[in-house]
Formats: sequence, C-alpha cells, structure tokens
Amino acid sequence: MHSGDDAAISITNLSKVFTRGGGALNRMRGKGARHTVAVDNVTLEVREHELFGLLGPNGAGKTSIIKMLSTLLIPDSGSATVNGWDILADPFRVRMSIGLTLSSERQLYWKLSAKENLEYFASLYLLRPAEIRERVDMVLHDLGLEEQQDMLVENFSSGNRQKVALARALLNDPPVLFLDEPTIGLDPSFSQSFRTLIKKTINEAEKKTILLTTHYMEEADQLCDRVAFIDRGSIVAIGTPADLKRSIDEKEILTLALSSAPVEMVQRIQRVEAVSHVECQERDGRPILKVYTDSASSCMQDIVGIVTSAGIHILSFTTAKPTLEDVFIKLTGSGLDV
Amino acid sequence: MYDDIGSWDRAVREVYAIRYIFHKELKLWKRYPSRILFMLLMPFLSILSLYFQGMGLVGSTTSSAFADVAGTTEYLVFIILGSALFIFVSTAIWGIGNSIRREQMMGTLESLWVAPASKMTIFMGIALFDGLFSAYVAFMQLLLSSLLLPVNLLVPQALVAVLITFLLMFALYGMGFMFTGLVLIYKEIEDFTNLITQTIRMMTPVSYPLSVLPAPVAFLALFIPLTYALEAIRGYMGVGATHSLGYYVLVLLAFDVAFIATGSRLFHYADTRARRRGEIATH
Ligand SMILES: Nc1ncnc2c1ncn2[C@@H]1O[C@H](COP(=O)(O)OP(=O)(O)O)[C@@H](O)[C@H]1O
Ligand SMILES: [Mg+2]
Repeated sequence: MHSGDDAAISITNLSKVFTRGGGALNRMRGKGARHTVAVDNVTLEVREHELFGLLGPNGAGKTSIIKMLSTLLIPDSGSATVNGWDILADPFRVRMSIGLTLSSERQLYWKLSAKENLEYFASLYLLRPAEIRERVDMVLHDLGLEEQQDMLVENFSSGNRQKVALARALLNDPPVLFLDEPTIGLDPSFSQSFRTLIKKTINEAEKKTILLTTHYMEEADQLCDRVAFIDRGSIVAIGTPADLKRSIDEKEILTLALSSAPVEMVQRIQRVEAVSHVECQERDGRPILKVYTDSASSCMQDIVGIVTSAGIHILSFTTAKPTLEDVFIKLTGSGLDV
Repeated sequence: MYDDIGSWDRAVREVYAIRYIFHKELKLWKRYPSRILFMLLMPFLSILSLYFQGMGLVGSTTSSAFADVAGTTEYLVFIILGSALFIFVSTAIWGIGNSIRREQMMGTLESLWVAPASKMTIFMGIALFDGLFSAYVAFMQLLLSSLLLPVNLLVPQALVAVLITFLLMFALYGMGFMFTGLVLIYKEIEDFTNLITQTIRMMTPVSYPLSVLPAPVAFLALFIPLTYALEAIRGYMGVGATHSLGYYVLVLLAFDVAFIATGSRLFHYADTRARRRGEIATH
C-alpha cells in the first residue's frame, strides 16, 4: 500500500510564493510583479490516526498547504508525502489516498441532489457501480443524511452542505482527510455537533488521519491531538493544546473592558508586582486590557484601584486560564481574528 | 483503500466514470428548462432561415450559377450539409472548455480536479454528452429539411457522412483540449473562441465552395480538417467533386493524431502552469 514510514503526512521544507502581475504587458507599463510568500519553509509530520490542526489567522498559508498536499497546487520547493506517496512524483496515488473538503459552499452541484452529487464524485474516485451504490448508502447513513438524500443541494442549510462535502470526502474510504476550515460560517450549535462528528466518528471510530485548518482557537483546542501555529507562512509552534498552553509562563489572564485606557494608567498597571505584562487591544471600539499574571488574586485589588482612581469605568472584568489564542498572541504578537 | 489498483482495472473504472459524467451532464441540463426549449426549436429555426435566405436571394432551391463554382446546382443542400456539420465543429472546439469554465464559475472545479479520474476521462464524459447533443441537432436539421423543404436529402450514403463526422470529431476535440487549456490560463476566452470559430467558418467551405475564396485563404483552408470533411460528405451525398473515400479517411486520421497529440500536450502544459500559479479555481 504505502511505501515505508509511519507518518501519514510528512512535509519537508515546503515553500510557496505567489506571483501576480508579472506578465510582459505589466512590465511594459512599468509595473513590477507582486510576490506573496504564502508558505515559508514548512516542515511537519502528522502521524497515522492523528487529528492534527493548523491554526492561524486569515492569509497565514493554511489553505495553500492543504492544496499542495492534495496536488491542486505545485510547491516552489520542498517535498511532501501523503500516505507514503510523493505529491509530485505520484499525484494519482496521493489523490486515491485522500478526501478533501474545501471551505466554499459551492464545492457541490447545487442543482443535483445530495445522492446524485455523491454518486457522481464516487465515479471520479474510480469506484465501480456496485461499490458506488454501497459506499454512497454507507456514507449517507453514517453522517445521518439519509432523510435528505434526494433533496437538491441548493435547498440544504450551510451546515448540511458541509456534511455532504464531508460525505464526499469519505467515499473512497481514504486513510487521510484534509478539512479546510470545516466549520467556517456555521452557526455555533451546528459547529459543535459537526466537531463531535469529526472527532468521534471520523477520527476515532473510522480511524482516519485528519489534517484540518482553522482560525477558531476553541476548535483546535477541543478537537486536535496536536496543533501547529502558523503565521505568515511559517510554523511558530507545534504541540498538544495542553503543552502549548503550559508553555506560557503566566498562569492567569485578567481581561478588562474599559471606557478608556490612557497610557499613564496602563504604565501604572504594568508596574504592579505580580503583573508580567499588559496588552491593549480594541474590540467594538472599546479598549480591552489583557493583564498577564502569575496570580490574579494578588494583583486584582491594585489594578481595580488604579483604574477607578483614574476615573475610568470598568465595563467588564474576567479572569481566565490562558487559551491557545493567548499563546498565539504571545508568540506572534497578533491575534487570530484578522 | 483503493490506492493500489492495476492499470487494466483502472482503465475499466475510468470508462465507468465516463458514464457517470455523462449522466451528471444530462441531469444538470434537464434542470434548466430553457435549454430544453432551445434544443427543441433550434433545428427548425436554423433550417427555415437558411431556406428563406436562399429563396430571397436565388428564388429557388437550386442555382445554375452555383454549379459554375461548386460543380452542383443543389446550393441549398450544399449549405444545409455545411451548417449541419458546423454544429459539431463549434461544440467540439468549445464544448469542453465551456463546461470547464462553467465548473470554475460554479466553484466545483477544484473538487473535480482533485479527484483521481484522469482529465481525459472527464473530457470524454463531457464530449459524449455534447457530441450526442450535436448529433441530435444535426440529424433533426437534416430530417426537417427533407420533410419540409423541396430538397433531396438522406441518401443511403448517410453512413459515410457519419463515419467522416466521427473521424473529424477527434481532430476537433484535439483543438478542444487546447481551448480548455486556454480557459485555465486566461479564464474568460469566449470572445477569442468566437473569433476562432468565425474565422474557421469563413475560411472553410461551410456555406460556399473553396473556389470562391482568394487563393491564399483557400490554401490555408487545406490545413483545417473541416475542409476535407465537408468535401467528403458532400461528395458522397452527391454534391460537389471528390477524391476517393480512402483519401479522406487517411487525411482525417492524420489530422486526428496530430491535433490530439498537440492539444493534450498544450492542455497538460496549461494545467501544470495553473497548478503552479494557484489559478485552478480563480475566476
Ligand atoms: N492563487 C493565489 N494567488 C496569489 N496569492 C494567493 C493565492 N492563494 C493565496 N494567496 C495568498 O497567499 C497567502 C496565503 O493564503 P492562504 O493559503 O489562502 O491562507 P489561509 O488559508 O491561511 O487564509 C495570502 O496572502 C493569500 O492572499
Ligand atoms: Mg484558507
């Protein structure tokens, strides 16, 4: 089946730079080409049966990595194998070994029913007619889509469209699945059940190796065995969600929404003992102060004192353990919502 | 896991895929009612307009002046045969590219591209659908002409016409592969394709014999397979001069090999370029 090592996906020094507007016509107009470094020397290994997450903001290079691994995009340099097959030397066997869902709702034929979509794609995965009937019925059943199998995809909810896309990715019973932003644009309760489906049914019961991308930190935290942080094309950290959170020295984070946040006040908070550092962000036009500390209880009084004596209103006040996003911010200096 | 199928097994599976692609094209087509109306009315409209045009200009369905340039007085039959064959030309050249462009606009192209089925399989599924569609329109045109118009058609040599059309199709699909590659590179190529289609129509004896064209244009027409197919079909339907059937078959086979080889190579080049630039899905 596959040619050797244990990694389901193995990526070595993978890079991709996109070039736009470099044609002869633009050169004559004196316009140079624009280069975007989408993926910058990424090295990564995903083990068999692992649920691995690529977490990073918009434009970080997540989709580009998925597309290179699924042979839709040719890398500039570096190499990768999927299920043991080299993505450049053996694209056919890579395609036979994977299932892919994209983040677009338009990846299915809206004028065909769910079942018609699946039968058609199953044939493109080179299943024979008898296998097609069997697999299509099986995935429809496994994902709970039997009731709606004859409904046109245009009449589906966004969530169920994503389910049909997932069903499609499972048709050829592939050992490796790539899920690009599987819950983007879905309502929270549906996202939750969809995540359970991915983890319990697809990863744990059906033993699929899954590489998913997301910019939702809870998604990476809840689902993934291991997570890689990706920012501007580079991997900045890899580990289990628990390890990554432990890597942050501060054990607690106070978050204050304020009516305003003058610089002198922020500096005074910074000088409070037990405060390791303070970050000022903005949400809905309001300043948000994040105070990183070893012990919230020992500095809380001081901070409240400083703020109220400056005549500033505290609109909300929470203390929390660091999240993956806090670790991400600490490592990259920017958040996930870009 | 199906990643270790043998090459014969794979070939059989690819053929099954062609069938499913055909069915999917048919289902999608049926879900747009305006297309059905178009299909039903198209043959009538085009035949009638050719007929009225002829009656307006010549006043009858035959012309002795036409015999001087074409070797037959049956000018209307001549034109009807030409336009019936040209239906195949435009769909074969543009059909696959058009369909791929549609997938690109709908957002399904990457899902199609990431599947293991060969691109040629996908093209053949589309071509089968388009080809049968063209065959229907062409056949209806000829049938309606022989029923409604005072012309003499549907001679027993119709089988020869089918053979010639079949041979012509391969060469045309070779061009079709090339245009599909252009779709991947330039996306919106409709104007360009129309330009090419109209140029071919002007340069080849679709509606008039080669002899009315200026010598350099008539010479260039010799490099277009349609020229030979038109000549052969008309010859065997009794209008216009002709070589032996074997000659036409050989010439068309040579075009088939050359065009398919060139077309698939150009498509492959374009596909690699698009995958390098990340432009499979971009409109
Ligand atoms: N086909 C393309 N052509 C040019 N630039 C692209 C293309 N695809 C992605 N990019 C750019 O590459 C960077 C990474 O994009 P992407 O991989 O889609 O990131 P993500 O999925 O993490 O949001 C972005 O700056 C994006 O604008
Ligand atoms: Mg993306």
